[in-house]
Amino acid sequence: MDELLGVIIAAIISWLNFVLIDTWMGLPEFPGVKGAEVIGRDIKKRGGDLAGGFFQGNIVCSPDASAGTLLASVGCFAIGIPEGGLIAALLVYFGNRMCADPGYAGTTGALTITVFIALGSYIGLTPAMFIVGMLLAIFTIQGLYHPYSSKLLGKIAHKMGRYTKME
Amino acid sequence: MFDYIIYIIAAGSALILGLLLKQPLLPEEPKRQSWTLSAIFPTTILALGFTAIISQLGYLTSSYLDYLIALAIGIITAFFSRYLLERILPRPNTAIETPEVTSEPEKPEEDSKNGSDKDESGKDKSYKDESGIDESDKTDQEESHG
Repeated sequence: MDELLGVIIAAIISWLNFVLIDTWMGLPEFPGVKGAEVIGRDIKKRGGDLAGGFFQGNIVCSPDASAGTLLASVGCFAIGIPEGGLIAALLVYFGNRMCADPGYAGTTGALTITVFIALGSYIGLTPAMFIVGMLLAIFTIQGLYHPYSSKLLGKIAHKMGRYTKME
Repeated sequence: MFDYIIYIIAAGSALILGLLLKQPLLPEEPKRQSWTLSAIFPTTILALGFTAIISQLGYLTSSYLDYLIALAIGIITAFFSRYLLERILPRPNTAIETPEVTSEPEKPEEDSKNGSDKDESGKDKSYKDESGIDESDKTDQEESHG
């Protein structure tokens, strides 16, 4: 497969993987750790959405599905499919607990992207493409403009019934 | 080569023993805020991860002995998850909560005696800002942002 096309497909899969799993696991509903609440309220002050802000704060402060997706891609690249992904899931779980975060989004994200990497290998998608794709995916959420990205995340949270009840 | 049977044995034995050790199948709702250690999360996931590590370290030799090793990994992981995991990675003592406001305000004389910057609820004014977030936490987070 053409490398550029592969990276774009991997980026889309990675974006959907971590955004949908994180939203389903309730990252926009509640700040899992204290720092996530600070970041969420700061993003809201700058014109963003509170639920999207909590989502972004949770991403920064403890391993979530985005960390799981990236680490599993790196694990599969360095160790193999699917062993690298399984080891990444184990490490993400310990990372969550060290960050005093009870969530399972990171572990779930690592396992699901391992399945996608394994399936993608049949059509020529490599773990390296998923690493680059995940970097691009997280850049669209955390690297471009927080108010817009948080509003998008807030809308997704609304549609999935995971919008925050906090004010 | 990836051997699915090894992983199925490890995960299956960890799951069954986890249930026998009276772990719930899944954490209670809402799962995101649950610290309960269940048979699937994390016991089975840990068993898969440990099996992958043992496999990559080269201890599996593609013989029938591998099945016994996988069984042992599942059993050890279930006991580890049930009895040791919470000691190694304990639950945090503090949760995210806004500070409680005491119903009985302190007497103003005591405040003036102390000469401190306490508010009506007896808590330091400098301790929290208008959003109810600790200043100390805010500082920590701002540092970690950088």
